[in-house]
Amino acid sequence: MVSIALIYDIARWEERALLEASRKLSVNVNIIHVKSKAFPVDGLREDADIGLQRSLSHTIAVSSTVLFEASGLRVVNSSKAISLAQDKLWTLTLLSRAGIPTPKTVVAFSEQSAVEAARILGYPVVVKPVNGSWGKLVSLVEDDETLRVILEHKAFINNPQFKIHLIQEYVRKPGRDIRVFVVGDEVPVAIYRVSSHWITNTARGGVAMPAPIDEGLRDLALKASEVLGVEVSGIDVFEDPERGYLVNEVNAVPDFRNTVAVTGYDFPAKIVEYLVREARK
Amino acid sequence: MPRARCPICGRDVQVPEDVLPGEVLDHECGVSLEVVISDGKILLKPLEIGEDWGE
Repeated sequence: MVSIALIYDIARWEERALLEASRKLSVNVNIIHVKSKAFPVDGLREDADIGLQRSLSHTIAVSSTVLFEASGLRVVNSSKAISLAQDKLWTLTLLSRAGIPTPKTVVAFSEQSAVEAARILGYPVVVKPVNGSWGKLVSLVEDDETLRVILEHKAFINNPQFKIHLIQEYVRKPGRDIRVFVVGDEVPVAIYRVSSHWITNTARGGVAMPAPIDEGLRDLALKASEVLGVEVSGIDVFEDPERGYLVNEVNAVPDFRNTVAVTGYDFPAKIVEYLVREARK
Repeated sequence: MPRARCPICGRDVQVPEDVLPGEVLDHECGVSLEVVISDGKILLKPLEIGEDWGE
């Protein structure tokens, strides 16, 4: 019987669903709550054939994946893939270099260059940190004055990552974006995240609805996954009225509760089945 | 079903038999609680959302 190491820090609906899916598929799960014990840097041995990283903390996700990979355990997603996906600058540069359409984005390492970047792109712009999620600290900015205020506030946040500013064009989405899920080389399910607010994350009140997956969306999602090396992911896609699909973000530890709720698709089982196949290779 | 005490309101919290360490339980007083299992004992603490949390 295949054994999966479920590596996590906080257990939510998603982790419970993965355990239930594993039980139904007769897959053994080694539950590894990373905050419950200390781990040796060398000589770590876990009784599992493959690991699934589900930590909410970006820092813990990368660090604990590195730890388990060093012990010889294959972890999905890999530490490299998680690192690339967590960093929006890395993600966007790699996607752009691979020819994947993304929103026009400029990075600025100072307040002054951020203002210049916004003027180059043309207001309104979206200002976001390089590392963040659930729409946190993402601002829609209409003019220089507002931008300066936001940057001034960020200057008082004691975290150097917030001193790097991603200035992005405001894509005029049709009141929604698309979350596309990838598992291996399959794109099994997608949802629209609908909101009258310009931030459409379900964590910020966006409403999930089933979304069709056409060939273009499928190809784009698979290519984006391949570029970052993620095996299980949720990819955020904008629909630009003129350019079509634009990949905005890639999420390496995706939430899927709302997706399962509105589509009925058994995404946890899909993940477990993938892990079993990979473990047997 | 095991019980633990809410550190905010002091009332009992029903804990599932198969509760996981790190599991989030929503209590009727409105607080989200994180399960800590220490020496076999189930403790609850208010869930503190990390700055780097996300997908």
